[in-house]
Amino acid sequence: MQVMTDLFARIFGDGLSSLGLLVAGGLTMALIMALVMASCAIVFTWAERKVAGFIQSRYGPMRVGRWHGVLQPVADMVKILGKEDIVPRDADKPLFMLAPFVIFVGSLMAWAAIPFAPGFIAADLDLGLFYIFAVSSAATIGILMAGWASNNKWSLYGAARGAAQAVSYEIPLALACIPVVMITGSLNMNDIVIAQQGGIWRWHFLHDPFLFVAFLLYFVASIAEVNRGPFDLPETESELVAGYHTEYTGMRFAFFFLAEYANLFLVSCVATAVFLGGWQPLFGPVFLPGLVFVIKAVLLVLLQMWLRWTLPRLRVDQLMHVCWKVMVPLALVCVLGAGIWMLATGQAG
Amino acid sequence: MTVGLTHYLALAAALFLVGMAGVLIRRNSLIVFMSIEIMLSAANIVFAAYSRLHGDLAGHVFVLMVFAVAAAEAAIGLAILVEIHRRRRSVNVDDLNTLME
Amino acid sequence: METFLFYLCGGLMLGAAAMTVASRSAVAAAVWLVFSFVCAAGVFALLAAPFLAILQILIYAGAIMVLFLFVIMMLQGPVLPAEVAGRTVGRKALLALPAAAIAVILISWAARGREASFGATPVTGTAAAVAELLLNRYLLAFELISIVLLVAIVGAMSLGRNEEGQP
Repeated sequence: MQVMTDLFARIFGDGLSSLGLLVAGGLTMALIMALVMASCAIVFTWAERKVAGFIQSRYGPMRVGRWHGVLQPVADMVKILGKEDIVPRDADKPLFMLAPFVIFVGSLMAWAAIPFAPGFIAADLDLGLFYIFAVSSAATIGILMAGWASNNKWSLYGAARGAAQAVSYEIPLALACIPVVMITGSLNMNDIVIAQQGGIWRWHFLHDPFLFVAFLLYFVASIAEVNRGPFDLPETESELVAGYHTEYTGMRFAFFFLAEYANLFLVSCVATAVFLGGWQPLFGPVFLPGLVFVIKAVLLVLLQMWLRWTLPRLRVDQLMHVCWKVMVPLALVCVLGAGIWMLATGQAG
Repeated sequence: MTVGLTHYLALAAALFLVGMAGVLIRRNSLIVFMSIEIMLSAANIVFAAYSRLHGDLAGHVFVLMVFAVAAAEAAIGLAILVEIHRRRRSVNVDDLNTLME
Repeated sequence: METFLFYLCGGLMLGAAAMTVASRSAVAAAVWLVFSFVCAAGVFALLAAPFLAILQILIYAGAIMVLFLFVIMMLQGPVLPAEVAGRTVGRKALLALPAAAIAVILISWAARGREASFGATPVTGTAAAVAELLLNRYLLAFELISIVLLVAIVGAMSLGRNEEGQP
């Protein structure tokens, strides 16, 4: 936001008051983040279909656009926007209309605290990491609202599974980040990235063995958190039609879709900032920070896609077993171990 | 008039009243529960407001305690409700009068 | 600016709380309550308590209300059976008492016209500052609250079990 307010201050000189600057800067950053979300959805739908095609020995979309169907997402978007907006007769109408926006807003708000480059962060909060977890957990309400309001048993099952999964996996997700917070001594996303300055060996996931395990835990929990395969139980096509968004069409469905891909990129961005050095390059001085950040995050997204199309889906009981009996205890061990490591190597103050 | 302690206390009092109205009027025990949560958050606002007045963060610590108690209360209370619903097929407070008769 | 934000957050919080109490369907009540809690986070932020603001969203909106919605969905159909009107009249009369008490308090405050204004520089409740207190002066309370939570977990588990002993 600092970047934007400075820019506006330079353009308008004294024409804008500080409040005006704040509002203008905030709105611009919000717009940029919304565009980032939209472009995530566009790029990743295409990428996902190409990855799926590659893994299943087929081509994927090839026709729209000159080269390898690059314009396929545009065609899809036109198709989605052209669909009729259906609200089921027995649906709980206000909730049904509201749910996609709750999910979308939850996702959009979390983007505010992602540090893409030095100074390029919409809200440089002291509690940045904490804020991201809080806001994205609020989106769970949207899932339940959607499932309930649709008045459809598949939707309701999907929503119940989705919410249970999101609430459960949030715990290992947050616990896995705690060792990093202990080392950095700050929840500010900028501080966390700056603490990893100086090449790959300074990145947090290579800080000590416990942090490496914590990174793996974070990665697995983040896949479950965004409801993707092999943890995509809320939308298992073979049992639940399409989960909590079964009844949605047109624009409202597009919002779910947008939020899903934006969340996918969001958790990868958080992993990048917290464990993989953020905008810091592999070695040498900081170079094109925004690009380095995005490349790291996109690589993580591709890894998630690879896993989705390779691994079979878990059962519901296995899902909960993995979370509560494996990942949560392991994450607690990581927190303890990282603390002991810090004491033993004399890093604790 | 600038916003000071009194404003926050008035807000908390009004919230507490709304919560109390819910507890007294509503017969659905789920909504009664939610009204209790409203009353708890009214108390939280008072804690935070006095913390701000005295420049002492002890109030924030108390709010944290209230959060934890509210979470525990919701978990236990809702588990009891589920159990009652299993046996009685009702969550209406007025139906739960076995001990009264 | 602060005055405006106070009336915005406070007013919305109060209005949403009133809607919670007034709504017919339990799901609508829960959604209004979530909204009310999000506004409460705004009020906490105005009171220089960012840590509490974020915890409010994380705990209430993200956990407690999800639990509420879960239970509502498990227990009921979409619309509640109409509440028995006759029996609530007497209770509505009961309300007059606390309402009158609070009205008297508020009016006397307004009549005195005094405002205990806050100091100019707030002590901000950041995570570090609150943790400092929590883990030193209030360590015993902190440990006790963890026992409360543990008991709650065990209690909820044992209550939630089916008759057949299936989890």
